Amino acid sequence: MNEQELIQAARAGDLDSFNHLVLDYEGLAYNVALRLLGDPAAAEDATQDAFISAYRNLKRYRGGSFKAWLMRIVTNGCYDELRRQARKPIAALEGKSQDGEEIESPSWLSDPGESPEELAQRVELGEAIQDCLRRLELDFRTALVLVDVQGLDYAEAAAAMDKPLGTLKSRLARGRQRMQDCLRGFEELLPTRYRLSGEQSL
Amino acid sequence: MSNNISRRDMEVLSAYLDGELKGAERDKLELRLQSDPELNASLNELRNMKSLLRSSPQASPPRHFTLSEDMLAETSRSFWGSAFSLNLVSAVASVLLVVVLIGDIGGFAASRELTSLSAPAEAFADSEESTGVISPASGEAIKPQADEPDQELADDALADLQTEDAEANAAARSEDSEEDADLAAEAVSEPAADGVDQAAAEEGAAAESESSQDEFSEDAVGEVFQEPTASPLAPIAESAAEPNEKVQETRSDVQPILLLRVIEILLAAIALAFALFARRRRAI
Repeated sequence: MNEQELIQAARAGDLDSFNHLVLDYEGLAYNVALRLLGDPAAAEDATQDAFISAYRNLKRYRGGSFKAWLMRIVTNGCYDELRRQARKPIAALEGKSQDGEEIESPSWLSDPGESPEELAQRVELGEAIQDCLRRLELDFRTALVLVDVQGLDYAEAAAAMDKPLGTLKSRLARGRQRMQDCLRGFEELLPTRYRLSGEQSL
Repeated sequence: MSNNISRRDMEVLSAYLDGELKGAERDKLELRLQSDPELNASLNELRNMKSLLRSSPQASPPRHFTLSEDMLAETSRSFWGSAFSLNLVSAVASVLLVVVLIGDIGGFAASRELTSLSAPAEAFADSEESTGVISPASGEAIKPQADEPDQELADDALADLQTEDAEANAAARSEDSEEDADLAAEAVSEPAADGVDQAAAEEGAAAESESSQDEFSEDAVGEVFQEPTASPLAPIAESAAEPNEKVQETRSDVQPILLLRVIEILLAAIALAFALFARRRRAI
């Protein structure tokens, strides 16, 4: 069965068909949740909740990209979790970035005195990327995760974020700019071909 | 370097990198890229970063997330904690609140409208009590807007026969007259019946019925303003006419209104509380 046939069968209550879809998308869903939340346990919960929610709300799926529809459920669940975390007392100490926009990352205070350069000495590249992602405002982070990390196209990412295409483009561009600024602090960790110099890679 | 690039240029470069820049805008950018090394450097830097992110390792899920019937049954037990159900409860409470409010305000308005009806009715009852007679003027219906109902009704009463039956019915009406205002709000006005004054009908004189004239007097002709329940209550009418009973009636009128207010406040609180909880559990 192709994807649409699996969806139709799942809509009719066939749990096995839905589980085929789960297996197809669980890696993507879990990685999106992990990038957005930055915590494996929270990402695991968010992924499971998203699939349960998707199954229960399958009748609301109106066609189009099932991947985008599913990612919307995942990102909404992650947003809810981040809001829940933000209500914890430590969230009250959240600060503002240089241009006055709120930094929503719960890890913002993990080590307030530590600059990106200092961090670079103790973290691996993957952690550096994750750290920079977490420093981004939530919408910028989501756009980068969906498009640059997971490879969704603009239409899918815009649908997953429930935003117009123009907004997605703008968020993505600004997110990339900030990501570049952050990653410059980890320049020495980057493989040569990924160095953020102005030279053409490869 | 890209540090100096404008936000607009960054958006254009970003879209160009993803193949999302079309037509004239793309041509324009490509021209600029040929002559602007800084813009070119920014594009390469952006391209490198995108490659870096795209090649970053994907985490393996710690387990499969397939669903089981047990899992679904378990989560369905927490249905009442879901945002959907919370929204549903909030919506139902809101609708009930609106219905109760409309009933409350509508009932209040109707009571005010019928004030002119109930006042003469009481006076009417009083005059009957004092004389022990009930009997409107022959061929005339009660006119609630009469300037001096006491005098008018008393005159009518004196002109008519005095019977025990009439006294009992008069007492019954005295009991019901206060309730008329409230009941009239719910009751549907009957079309003007034979002999009923049009003015009385327009005043919303609900529950008008043709009285059994013979019970009152052979001379008493026409309609009387009478609650349908008057006749069944007639046997207990005499005791109902006692002053103490009237006080109790007043209390019994106030209690439902207080109860209504309490229900309104409770419904508003439920709607607000569930809406707030639902916001915290936003559904997809």
